[in-house]
Amino acid sequence: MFVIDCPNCGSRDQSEFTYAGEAHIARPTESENMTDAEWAEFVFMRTNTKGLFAERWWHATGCRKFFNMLRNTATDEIHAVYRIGEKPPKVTANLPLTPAGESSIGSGNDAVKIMTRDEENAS
Amino acid sequence: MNAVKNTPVRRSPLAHRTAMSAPDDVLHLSERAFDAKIVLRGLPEALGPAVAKVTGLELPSATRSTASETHRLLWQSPDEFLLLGPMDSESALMSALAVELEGQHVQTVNVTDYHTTLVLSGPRARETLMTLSTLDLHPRGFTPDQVAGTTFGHASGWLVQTVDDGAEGGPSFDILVRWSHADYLFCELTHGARAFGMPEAKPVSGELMEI
Ligand SMILES: [Zn+2]
Repeated sequence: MFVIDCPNCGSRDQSEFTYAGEAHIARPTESENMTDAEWAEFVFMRTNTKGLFAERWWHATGCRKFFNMLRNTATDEIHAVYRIGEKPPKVTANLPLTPAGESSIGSGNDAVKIMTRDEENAS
Repeated sequence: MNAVKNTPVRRSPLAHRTAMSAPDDVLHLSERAFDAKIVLRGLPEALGPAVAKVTGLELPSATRSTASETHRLLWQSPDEFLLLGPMDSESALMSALAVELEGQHVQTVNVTDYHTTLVLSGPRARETLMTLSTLDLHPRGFTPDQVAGTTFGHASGWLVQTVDDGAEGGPSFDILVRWSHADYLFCELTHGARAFGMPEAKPVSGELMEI
């Protein structure tokens, strides 16, 4: 759980908010000319970044407005909150992106699951 | 305070409840049914002059409310306000606002029967709210006339402080809650206040969140 600074309401608990997916994905203007594959790309495919990620949040119980957030998905550090329609601000995030120093690519679980051959044999 | 819960045409969601108090006047919980409630949507530039003319109230800034003897205006979002007025005044308010807002890109909706108002007052009111809410309810964190849309247990609602902490009898808060959640929240508040000697009310249906 973490505290989020709503651009309208101020600091509120995460439980008041709903996650609304990756930010800055524009809806195609001529969807009638798109192939199924292109449509699927728009609807389903997300970058699923580990690290600095631009995402939308919705203040469900407060102002009920959407806004954007730059969050480090590995550490949950919130680097910036900005309004819909604005470009993400320039921020500096420290790499490697997790406290444990895991790789910034791939899932955190895989990174911590790497064991030496001796350890595998022992378990 | 309006204690009416039944009229020939309507019945409040808490008509089966009576006001409850903890010993030594540390806490009082009651329902104030049938306040006129009107949602105003639109840009503040458009809504401000009309509301001022009809109620005499200025539009509140973000997370605040403004109030007179008879009316209160709550900020809900940058383009949304909730106007509260005396019982049975909603039709007159709607008509007066319609005249003032004629031709403008705004919306007014009568939500009088959507919410009811729970009134929680007394020196222990803040601590009771703390058992159900994630808000910063320290007197410096939530001040008179402040407004917050939030959740209380499983029920969402709007909280506004209507009486100062320094007042005789302690602070008072209004909680606007949906009709269907009102009984749950009434009971949940008595449950949260049991440490102060409040008798517990049991919900008519469903169960409380154990806290
Ligand atoms: Zn908000």
